[in-house]
Amino acid sequence: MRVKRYLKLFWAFFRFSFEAETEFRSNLIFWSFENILWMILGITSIHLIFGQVEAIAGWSKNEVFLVLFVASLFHDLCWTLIFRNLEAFSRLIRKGELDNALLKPVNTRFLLSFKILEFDHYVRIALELFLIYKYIILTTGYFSFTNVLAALFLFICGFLIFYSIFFALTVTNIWFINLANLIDFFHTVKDLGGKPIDIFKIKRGFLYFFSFVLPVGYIATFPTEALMGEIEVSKIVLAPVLAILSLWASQKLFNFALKYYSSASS
Amino acid sequence: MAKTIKTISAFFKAETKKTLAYRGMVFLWILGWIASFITMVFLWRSAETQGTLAGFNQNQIVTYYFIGILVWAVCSWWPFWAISEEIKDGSIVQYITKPIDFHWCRLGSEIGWHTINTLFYLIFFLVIFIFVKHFLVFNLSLRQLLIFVFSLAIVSLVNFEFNLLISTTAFWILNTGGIGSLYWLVMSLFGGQIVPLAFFPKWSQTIVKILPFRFMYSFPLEIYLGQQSGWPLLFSFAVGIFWVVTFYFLFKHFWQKGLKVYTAFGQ
Repeated sequence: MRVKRYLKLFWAFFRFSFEAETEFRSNLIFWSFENILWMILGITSIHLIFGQVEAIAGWSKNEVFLVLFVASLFHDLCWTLIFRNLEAFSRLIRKGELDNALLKPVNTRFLLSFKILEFDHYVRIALELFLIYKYIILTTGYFSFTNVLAALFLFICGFLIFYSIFFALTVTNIWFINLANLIDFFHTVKDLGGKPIDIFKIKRGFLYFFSFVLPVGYIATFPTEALMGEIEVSKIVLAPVLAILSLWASQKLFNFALKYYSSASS
Repeated sequence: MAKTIKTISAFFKAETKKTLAYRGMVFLWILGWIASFITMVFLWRSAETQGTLAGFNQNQIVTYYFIGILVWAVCSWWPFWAISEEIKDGSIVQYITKPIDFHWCRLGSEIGWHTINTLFYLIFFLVIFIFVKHFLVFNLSLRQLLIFVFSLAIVSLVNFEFNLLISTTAFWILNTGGIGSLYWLVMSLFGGQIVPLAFFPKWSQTIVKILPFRFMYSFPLEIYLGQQSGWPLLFSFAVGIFWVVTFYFLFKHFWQKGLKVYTAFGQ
């Protein structure tokens, strides 16, 4: 019953966001086009790097492309589902208007996380899915549904982990007030995940940090390894543990931070 | 002249106080840059190659990104987002209804923000230095150092004037976010932020070197690494100054045009 209610609510958010976006159609087309330009920038960068090197930490050019496309998919899902919401959440705290959300008869975190959806990433998402398929064939020579399922599982866990980390960081606005550039910081973290984390192998401490503490490997490297059928079982087992732990910790932080929140009589 | 200095000084003071009050933002920028720097260093150190990378050895590459942090801290004069917001929400009226020149007000604010910003960056810059000093290249003479500092001034001004110019688009269009994003995209690539410009194919080198984007980031780094000297260096400075002057006059032109079509309410 509860799930049904929230699904209905999500559908309503989806409809309102879609209507709002299609109200400004030229804007939607412009951003869809520009998002593709950003993707071309990523591809050009890898071409320029591989114009000088043969491999990066044992990853060939095509494998690095696969990492890039998985990371881009992660980026697009972040923008489609959560970034705009976290930006709005941050603004509500800064302006002292969060109580508007707190007083609604719905789970506050759900409301703050999914109220606004973006629609200018769909062309890119379709393109990325196609390119991921193409580069799986190019790198491995075959397409395995088992590998795709494993990759999807890791990708979803990675998404939950970073959604929780980003949410928790946004919550810190309650103490630091004017962190208006949080989204830019999220981009940097996300960009870290857009490279094969084996680059950190030369310093084990960094490798462990980016595998388990700030596990950027779950953004693209581990799902890509799964797509290529080279994933270690331990990484699959650890993924849901980290996802649940980060969801739980971010919720605890949110509850704790709310005790320090002061409104501006909105 | 005295009035201009007074204006710059007043906005400088106001902005330093504001930046100190909201230092959390500065720390986030710094953390972001450290993360990017670490990634690029590890990326290039794990690169498998035979010979040099477009004329760079591995230590020069690390130095490029390391000094890049300093260039970024000092030169990223980007008032675009703030000004276009002020034009859209009408708060720009506070400048245009007063007998002060908007250009110099913003210059004072930018110097203020970057003074505090650079001081914060320097602390972290020195900490990172301790960890990476073995990989860094230091062979700068006093003369080169002075040229390097001068190039930082040119880069700051190119960034500043170009940002002022594109912020005037807010007088005519609503979606300035798209313009900002497009500018960022082109600058990241052609400014040399992602990879040094020497990595570009040979046929594109001449074009890339006279585009204004090179003078938004890469130029001081080329000087630091000793890739520019003699007449080519002088020519590069001339091109940089050309862009500063061109953007300044274009801004003045579009600012006046924009004010004629501008409407604001409730201020």
